Amino acid sequence: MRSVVERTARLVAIVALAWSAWAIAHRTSVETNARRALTDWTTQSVRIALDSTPSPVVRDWLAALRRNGVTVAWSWWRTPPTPLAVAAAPLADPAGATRVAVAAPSGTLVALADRLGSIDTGRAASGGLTVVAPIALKSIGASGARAVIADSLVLRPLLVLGTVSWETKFVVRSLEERGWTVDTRLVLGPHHAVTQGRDSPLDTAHYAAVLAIDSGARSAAASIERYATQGGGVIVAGSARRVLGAIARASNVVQFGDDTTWRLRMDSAHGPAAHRDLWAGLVAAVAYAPRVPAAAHVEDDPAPVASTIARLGPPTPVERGGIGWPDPWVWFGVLALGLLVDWTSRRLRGAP
Amino acid sequence: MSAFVFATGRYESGDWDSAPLVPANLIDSIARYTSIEIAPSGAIVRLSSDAMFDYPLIYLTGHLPFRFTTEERRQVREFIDRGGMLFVDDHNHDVGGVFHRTATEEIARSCGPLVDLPNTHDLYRAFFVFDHGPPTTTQELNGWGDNLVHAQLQAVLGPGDRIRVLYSSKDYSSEWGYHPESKRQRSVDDTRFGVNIIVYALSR
Repeated sequence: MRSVVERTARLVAIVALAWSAWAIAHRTSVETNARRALTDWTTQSVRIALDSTPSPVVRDWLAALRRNGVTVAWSWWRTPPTPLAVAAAPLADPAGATRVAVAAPSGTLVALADRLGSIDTGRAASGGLTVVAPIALKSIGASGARAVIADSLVLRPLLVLGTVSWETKFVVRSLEERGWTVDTRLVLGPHHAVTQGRDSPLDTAHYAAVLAIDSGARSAAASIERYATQGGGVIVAGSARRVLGAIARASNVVQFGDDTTWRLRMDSAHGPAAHRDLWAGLVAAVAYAPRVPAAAHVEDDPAPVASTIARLGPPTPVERGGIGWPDPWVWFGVLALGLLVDWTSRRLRGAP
Repeated sequence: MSAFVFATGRYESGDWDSAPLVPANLIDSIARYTSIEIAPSGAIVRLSSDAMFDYPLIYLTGHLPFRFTTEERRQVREFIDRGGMLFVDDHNHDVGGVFHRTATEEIARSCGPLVDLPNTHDLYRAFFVFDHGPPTTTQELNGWGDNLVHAQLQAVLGPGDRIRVLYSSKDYSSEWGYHPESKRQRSVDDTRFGVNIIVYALSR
């Protein structure tokens, strides 16, 4: 009798093992299953339970079926995925930087990644989080959502106005090191100025931003005001705030009180990088940089849960009819149990 | 805004203070010709001190053998990497003089290779225009010293041909070493090239 039990248990284990191997070898993805099912389904009705957000292709397929008269009912297989949306835009920074904004329920842990790997993780607060990645990204993924980033920005030169001083010199130097083309008009005397670059008109067709570093910008006050009303970005720093007070109230203007930031650059070995970051950040906040829109991309899926509901309607409970094969973990349990019974029985009767 | 302060570098070797009248003379010229906000008196700063980073242009001169200490060498290298500029002038104006030989060797070791500065460089148009490069000094013309007119200055250049170290064998330290009041006795102010050096350092 015991040997019959052992043989039976061993047979069950072998069958389970064989089935597991076959199941693993022939395992297909959710996407493949969905496509196969869509192909096989009749034109009468579709019932589907999703264990993750479907790709845009599958969504569109289901939506097309619905538009053609097929009844499409769907629901989440287990827990619905976290509704999440991601948007990303390049910053006006020649060195490349991307601002990523994620909308997600507060407390959600969001993992950001691109094709090359993980970029950052953060926990959403007050409905989302914003991250500035110091690289030019082509696409960004955030926990299932994916956004393709606009190709590029048109970065026109910067114009620095002021007097000849360490501050203007090092602001220009840091911005040039960052990759900006910088034109300068620096007052050196009643009839002298140090100029660099072209003597272009002060408008948004020629300059991305104007930096008034000190009171040397006084003579250009009217031009700067006109430029600001066109939508151009202006940084008013140091003593320039006294002579450009009216401009400082415009929306695309940043005021900056310190006129000795050059000391930051000279103070430590990390100073040059810190100075570059400081001024590049200020410029990126105000610069007028027309965007070149990217062509729509099939991978662009910035809000998969919302898109699924928008395309297919709200989920509806569906009957899970038919007998499907159990999950491979169930087969693993059967296999383990069979082996355990076989081994225990043999040990109890003293067999090896 | 902090005013420009003309700084003379103090180094351990040699005679760093051999031209004490030059700072006051150049300060006078800057105030006379430009609207640059400038401190009325210069500063003396040790190259081994972190205070040197408060003065992004430092003037060095001397007659004697010129060597940086290890600490000075490290500081000077860091200084120019952060954007500072050195102006080194040979107070001997000799081609093979001891200051020239030791200073050029030390600069090459600490800051990089010295190259001849083209006479079309921005330096010569930073304020006054010098079409023929660096102005000749009386020491070069009167046969005192090596009896040569040095046609070019030398420099350690950075990206964009920016001058990191400007080296002169022309002995501007002697040429500019007089009391500013004496300028009115001269038909042409010979410190005008000094104005160019300062304006260049402050604007490029």
